[in-house]
Amino acid sequence: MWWFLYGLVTGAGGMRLIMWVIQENVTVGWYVWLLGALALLLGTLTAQHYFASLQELEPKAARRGLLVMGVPALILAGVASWLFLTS
Amino acid sequence: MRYHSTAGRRDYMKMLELEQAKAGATIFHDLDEVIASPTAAWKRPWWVRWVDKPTVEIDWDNMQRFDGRKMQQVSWAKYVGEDVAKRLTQLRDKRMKQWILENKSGYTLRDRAMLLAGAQAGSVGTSFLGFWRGSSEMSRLQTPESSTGTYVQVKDPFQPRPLSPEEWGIPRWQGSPEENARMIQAVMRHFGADQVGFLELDEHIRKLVYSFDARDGKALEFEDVDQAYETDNKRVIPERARWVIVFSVQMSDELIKRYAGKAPTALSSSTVGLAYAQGRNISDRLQTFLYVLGYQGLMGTWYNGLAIAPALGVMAGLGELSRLNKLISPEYGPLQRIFKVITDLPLTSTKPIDAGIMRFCRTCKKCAEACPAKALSMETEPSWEVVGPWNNPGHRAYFQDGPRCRNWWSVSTVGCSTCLAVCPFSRKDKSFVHKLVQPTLSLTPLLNGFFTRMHTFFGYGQAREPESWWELNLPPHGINSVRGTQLE
Repeated sequence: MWWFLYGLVTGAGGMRLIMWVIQENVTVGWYVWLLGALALLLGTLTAQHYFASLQELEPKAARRGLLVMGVPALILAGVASWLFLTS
Repeated sequence: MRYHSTAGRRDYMKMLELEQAKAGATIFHDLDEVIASPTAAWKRPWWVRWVDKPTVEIDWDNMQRFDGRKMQQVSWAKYVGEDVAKRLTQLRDKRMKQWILENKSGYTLRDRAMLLAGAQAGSVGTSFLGFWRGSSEMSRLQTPESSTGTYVQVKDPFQPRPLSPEEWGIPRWQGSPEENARMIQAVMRHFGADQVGFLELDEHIRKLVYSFDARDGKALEFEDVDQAYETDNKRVIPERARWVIVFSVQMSDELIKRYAGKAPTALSSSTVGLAYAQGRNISDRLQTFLYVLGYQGLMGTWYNGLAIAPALGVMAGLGELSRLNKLISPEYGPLQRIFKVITDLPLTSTKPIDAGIMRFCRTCKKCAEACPAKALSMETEPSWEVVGPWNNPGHRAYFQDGPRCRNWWSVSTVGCSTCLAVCPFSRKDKSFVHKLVQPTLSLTPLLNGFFTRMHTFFGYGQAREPESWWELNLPPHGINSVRGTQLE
């Protein structure tokens, strides 16, 4: 159920962003989309691992997952956002 | 049992035959055979490959039937000396009481009570032939008031004897080996078994049946007789009983990980005793089921009796042999106990599997490093050389030092299962990480070292505070019984 809602929100958000880019005629490099998509994928996997690990009663695995996957996801998202905003 | 297929069947079968032949696997000649095959109902992950030979190398020519009396559980005192065994037993008894009085975490009175209570099999004993045939003193009074009308009252009213079709005056069950295998798989799941495989007792598999039974030392012999029988010094398996039903019972990872330091606790060991007790109950139900159908079911009179359970499990594809020198399955890892019943009900054999487990064990030595008794092999490659007479030669394995392991059972007072707790395959499967790792190691050994290090980094297999278990709200038996089923 939560993943369904997550999909709806992410899908709607992504659509809105693409429509805004088209409407405003903003030029965004392909690598920015790629970095953004990677950040989203890594962030999604981090969230899945975090909550699943808590369900597995593995809190250390949950925290370490945040470190190993969540930090790179945040960095990627930051770089993608910066490139997007400055394009 | 017939299944109706649709158009394009011939083409489909041709394609299927080609694919199966490429994989070196069984060739099906008809769609009905595919659906009726026991592996059709056995829902396994896509990365588990059915193969012709198990991942452990076997030299059948050099393998002899193992004398069950040589196993370390039985001959421990002989291997370490009577004095040492006596001293360790006294130490165990002293510690048990002392730790209860000290309220030591994991060894308290309630932990000890749980360990002992879980291992109880209720009123069910273990009998080679079936509990109802174990005693000539049993009275055989018909009980028309029996709710099913298919029992004969015996001495103990809580252990009525079932009627065979012959006694009942009806023909016995008839089915093809495929139908029988499907039937047994279904009923065994209902009785509480997790995985069920089948083997034909051919000249090779027969070598996995003990020459002498483990606990009471009775000879196990094959004879050309219709019915199995038992005397004071031997148990006789009829030549017609040519099949073995092998099944597993899961253990709880939440319990097994309640160890302290490297030592198991009464709490962590309680899941082991429970699984053995369940296995006995399930075997007893299976014996009864087979008897009512008109067939024989022969079980070990002890949980390690009759035949080498992990070896049968490996050959029937329940899992692969491992550094633990025990079976590890792709679904439950090492968290299971294996049981076996020999029968004359014709069955279709299941095949060994390759899921990359034995390969992974070459790199990962976590169990051997964690073993408090230093009883497990630290060698990278498995060996043909046995460590002692408690091992059975003829296969290339990571042989363990059984008596060292058994010594530790006394020191710990509760047996030991630390190697199972720290194994990377002892895990739940909710995180996507597990679903990524297992197929990868099944396909390539390249990342095995990395996976082992990440297992440590993520803290899987770490000991958990024993007392915290009492606060959990876990499913029955603390296991995920849906894993590997249609409902997963």
